[in-house]
Amino acid sequence: MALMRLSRLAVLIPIVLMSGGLNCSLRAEPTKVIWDATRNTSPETIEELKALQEQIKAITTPAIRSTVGLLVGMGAGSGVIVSEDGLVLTAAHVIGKPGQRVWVILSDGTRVKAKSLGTNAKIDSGMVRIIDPPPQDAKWPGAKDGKWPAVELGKSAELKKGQWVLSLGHHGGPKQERPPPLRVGRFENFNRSDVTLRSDCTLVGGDSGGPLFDLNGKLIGIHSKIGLFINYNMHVPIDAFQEDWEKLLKSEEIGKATAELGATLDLDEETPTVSDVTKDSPADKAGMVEGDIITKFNGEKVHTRDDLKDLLLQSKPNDRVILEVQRDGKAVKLTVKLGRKATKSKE
Amino acid sequence: MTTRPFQLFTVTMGLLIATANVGFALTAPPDKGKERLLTLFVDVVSPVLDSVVRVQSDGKDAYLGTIVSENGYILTKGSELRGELSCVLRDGTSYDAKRVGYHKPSDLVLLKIDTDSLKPISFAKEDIGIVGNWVAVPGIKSSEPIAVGVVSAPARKLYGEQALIMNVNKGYLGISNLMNAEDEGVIIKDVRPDTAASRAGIKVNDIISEVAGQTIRDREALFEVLDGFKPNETITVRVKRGANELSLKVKLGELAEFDRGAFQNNMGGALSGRRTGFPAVIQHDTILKPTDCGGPLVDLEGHVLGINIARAGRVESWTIPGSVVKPILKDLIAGKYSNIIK
Repeated sequence: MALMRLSRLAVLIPIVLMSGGLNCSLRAEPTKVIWDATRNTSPETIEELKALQEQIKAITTPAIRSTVGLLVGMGAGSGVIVSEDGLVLTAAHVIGKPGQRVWVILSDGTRVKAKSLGTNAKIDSGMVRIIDPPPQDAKWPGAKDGKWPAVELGKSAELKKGQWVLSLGHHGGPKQERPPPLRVGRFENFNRSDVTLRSDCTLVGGDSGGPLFDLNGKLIGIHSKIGLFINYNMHVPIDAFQEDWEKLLKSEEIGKATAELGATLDLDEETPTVSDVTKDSPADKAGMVEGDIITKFNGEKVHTRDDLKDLLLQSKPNDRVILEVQRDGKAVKLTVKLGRKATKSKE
Repeated sequence: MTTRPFQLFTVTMGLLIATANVGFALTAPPDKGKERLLTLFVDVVSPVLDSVVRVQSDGKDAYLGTIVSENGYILTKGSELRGELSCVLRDGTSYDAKRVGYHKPSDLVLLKIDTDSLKPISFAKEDIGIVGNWVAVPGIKSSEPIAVGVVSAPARKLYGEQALIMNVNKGYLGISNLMNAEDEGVIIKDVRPDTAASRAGIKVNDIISEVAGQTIRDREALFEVLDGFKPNETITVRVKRGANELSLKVKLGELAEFDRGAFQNNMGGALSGRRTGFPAVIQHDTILKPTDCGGPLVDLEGHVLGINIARAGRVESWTIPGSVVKPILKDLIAGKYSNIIK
């Protein structure tokens, strides 16, 4: 009796399964809708919207875990952990300059010590290194071995207009019991002239330095600034960080002159024409005088004031450079030992 | 010269708090971003549409309201709700509404209209404001929601300045770091430069004892009195300074003029006046008008997560979770709270 029933059941089950299969193919969606992370159009159906929601939620937890608050002096910004040994990317205007003492606020509110590394003030990128080990009670994988929860870097150049993106950051400064809030939006465009990505993920003060992710959970930008309209939210592209990586790591200040010449240029002249030489400055010591027109910098031709500025930007204090100037129609060579630009101590 | 109406010169701002970093960029007006998603929410919000009303004060749109009983109880946002109240249902019928009670911490007010055939909402059984879930705010004009977004942060308590009940659209004095001085008033530990307070000669360590003729015993009393004044109004502030007592005339200013954070938060649309001091909030990135608060927030499964209580900032709208609303609603219906809004 019992056996029969079982065998009867055994016969029944495949049929049920088959009819179930038929049901699916005839009436409902045969397969679960999956959201393509690189898709740059709106969902068309509620199922697609749900799939988009699932994709967002799938990457949110690790993204939140890696997003940090940064306290530097009186300021508060955000950042994101990008290496297991505790490198954090942020915005240059959050950290100001290398060697600053920084408090990193983890997503659960724990504070750890860090210091600022390099910055690129021109595009607003910056790097920080966490000094403390992960907290004892940290739960992310590898925490016990001293590893930090790092996000993967994506490629901002591959972003397509309309692609869905996520934004995190401690807007208003880190708040008790509030993990860095999530915002969802779409990538708008890349602005070549000021090296920024634009999205409609809303940002506000305190978000600076926080991460923008694609829907694969890869870091594609760092929050920098906002416009008056709600959909003007600007981010530093991750590709720009990659280009400067080694320099940022070495605590260099990119986009900020550190070497000084000590000569003032005539703003009415496009060619770099010296209007004043500071007493005892490197230029003065090298014998530069008012009226000199700088024509060459280490053999490289200098046409404009901007050319000279760029070459000075690439130089370091104490570099010896050979300048060629035109003086009374004659070319004169001057050897200048560049000085160090006085940095403002004001925060 | 040809005109370019869509190209405006606007300010872009660095997003660090408390340091100056201002740049400029050419920007155009907003495009339609998430608005394309609205139609997908039609089926999601349809079960609650008949539970949303438009609350008007003196005939003007004030807030949305949420129907919570068949016999005419409606919850909405209380602050700034003055004058003759009415509720307009989805079918266009308008009812005079009376205030039953006001719960100040949550800013929820219970209204009553004279009917017994309404369709109430029921809140989700538990707090399911899960980060990353899509949410929608149903309105009363369209079958599409007014706005959609995602849950940004799970339900949380508010702390620090965010936990204080105050109306930030009020006149701004420019004092902070306030401490209660036992029975004497409120000690000012910080006066911000170039504000109404500093211009009137208010100094650090002054003890405020009276504002506009009303005795001030603690910070809460101070905020309550200040809430009643708007920018550019002049009030008299009485302070104790050492052994002396002074009466100072203060012309109030606006917070956004002085506070970088407040300025940035106002970039991108108007904010609710009262946007602090709530018992708990779910945060979402829905872009709501202050006058569209007071209605329900719905997720993709059709769950009602709570009542929208504030457009709190450029990036955030806040909803009081259903679990927090329910006991307050019970007390409001039981008549435990006065109906005076102040």
